[in-house]
Amino acid sequence: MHIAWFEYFQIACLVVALYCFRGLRACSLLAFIPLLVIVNVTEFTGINYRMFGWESNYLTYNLYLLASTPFYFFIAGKMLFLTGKETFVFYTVCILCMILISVNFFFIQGQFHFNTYSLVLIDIMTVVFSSLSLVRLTILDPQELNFAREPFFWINSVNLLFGLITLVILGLHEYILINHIEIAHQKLYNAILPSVNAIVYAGYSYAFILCRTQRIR
Amino acid sequence: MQDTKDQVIFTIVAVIIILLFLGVLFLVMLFYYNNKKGQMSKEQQLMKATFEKQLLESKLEIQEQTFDMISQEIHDNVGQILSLAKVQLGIMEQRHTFEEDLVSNVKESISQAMTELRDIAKSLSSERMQLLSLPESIAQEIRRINRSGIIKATVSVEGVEKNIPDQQKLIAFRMVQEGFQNIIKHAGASEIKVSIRYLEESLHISIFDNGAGFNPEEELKKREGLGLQNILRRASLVGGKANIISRPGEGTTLEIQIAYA
Repeated sequence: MHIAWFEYFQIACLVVALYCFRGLRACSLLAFIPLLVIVNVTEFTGINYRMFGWESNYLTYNLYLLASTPFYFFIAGKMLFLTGKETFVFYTVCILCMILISVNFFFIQGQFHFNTYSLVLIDIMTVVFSSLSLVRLTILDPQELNFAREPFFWINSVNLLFGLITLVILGLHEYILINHIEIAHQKLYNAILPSVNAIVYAGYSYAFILCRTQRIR
Repeated sequence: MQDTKDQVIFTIVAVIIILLFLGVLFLVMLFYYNNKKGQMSKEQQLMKATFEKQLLESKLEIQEQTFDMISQEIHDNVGQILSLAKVQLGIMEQRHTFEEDLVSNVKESISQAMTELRDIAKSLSSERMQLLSLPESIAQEIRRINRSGIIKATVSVEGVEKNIPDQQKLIAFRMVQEGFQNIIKHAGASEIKVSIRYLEESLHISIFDNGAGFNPEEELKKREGLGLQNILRRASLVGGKANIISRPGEGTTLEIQIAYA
């Protein structure tokens, strides 16, 4: 059994989320708890797939994409402060995305081949939703925001940067793997993704703590 | 083969850096916008505070002038009339007689004093001012001036009357009152013509008197010119402007322009 160093950030993030339960409820971010459970289970099984006698871990990550995306979309919807028709348009787009991801999982790239199309689609949606959310957060509030104390700012900022990086690295996953593209004697995504993951989950944890402190105030 | 791989790695890393740069640039722009918004909000708050302070100062000034006016009116007008009534009663007491003419004169004096007091009360009441329109309030003031018999004052209204917020209306009326006070005290005029014009964008009030006239620039520099300075300042306070046109021997025109809020 092996636990990668960035997994500690993911576990810590889940622990912080549970500790800040009431804060997350006040900020309508409770969906993060099941999402983080899925993330932790996926990373653990994904990294230790040989322990389970599996040949590859693609199915684990493909299932992760399928299971985590609805939670992610739900959280994004909460952070967009949708009203009236916007809610309808947003959830229509989300349902269409989910249909495409499912079709890809079952019929196009399949279950045992990494679903890069789904991943690129999710990354595009992540970049778009987090950008919209950040713009909304900044423009809609007439008062000056203290970004450092704004949980939605931290969540969306790390999501935006994560989406932009993984869009290239995981989108080209197959190519990088086949051509043995390495940097510092490590596969490109192995060299970059752990650090990005650590930053993302540290950002989430800080946002959860902000939710808790804001609720107390 | 290794070169091609290096190129691919370089391109991928470059794309990642560019995308990251764009992402960070986007965040920096949001920070910049947020800071600007904060600065603007602070400036607006400062402007609002300054405006409220000026408004308060102006209200206090108006109050002070009002006290002066009450004191002057009671001393010069009501006081004189009541003194006369007292003298008339004294005469009756000395003579030990009951002369109907004298009693009637005393009654008339007291009634005149009451009318004067009522007029003062009317012209000072802000509540009453809020119930009446601006032309009605000015007309009431003109009736009061005409009753003195020294000055003949007229008012004309042009255009369709438009609603002005109470705060603006009160300050405009106090400016007109200040103008009248200046004419009565200093101009030695026999005629006052007031013109109220409701234009498309703003309200224009013009007060003309055929009095001695003066040099506005010189007068505004003097400390005695505080009354005129007050009129100009109050006009700007309600988002309008005031202009004094005068020359020695040629009368004076005070023009007040107030934009509808």
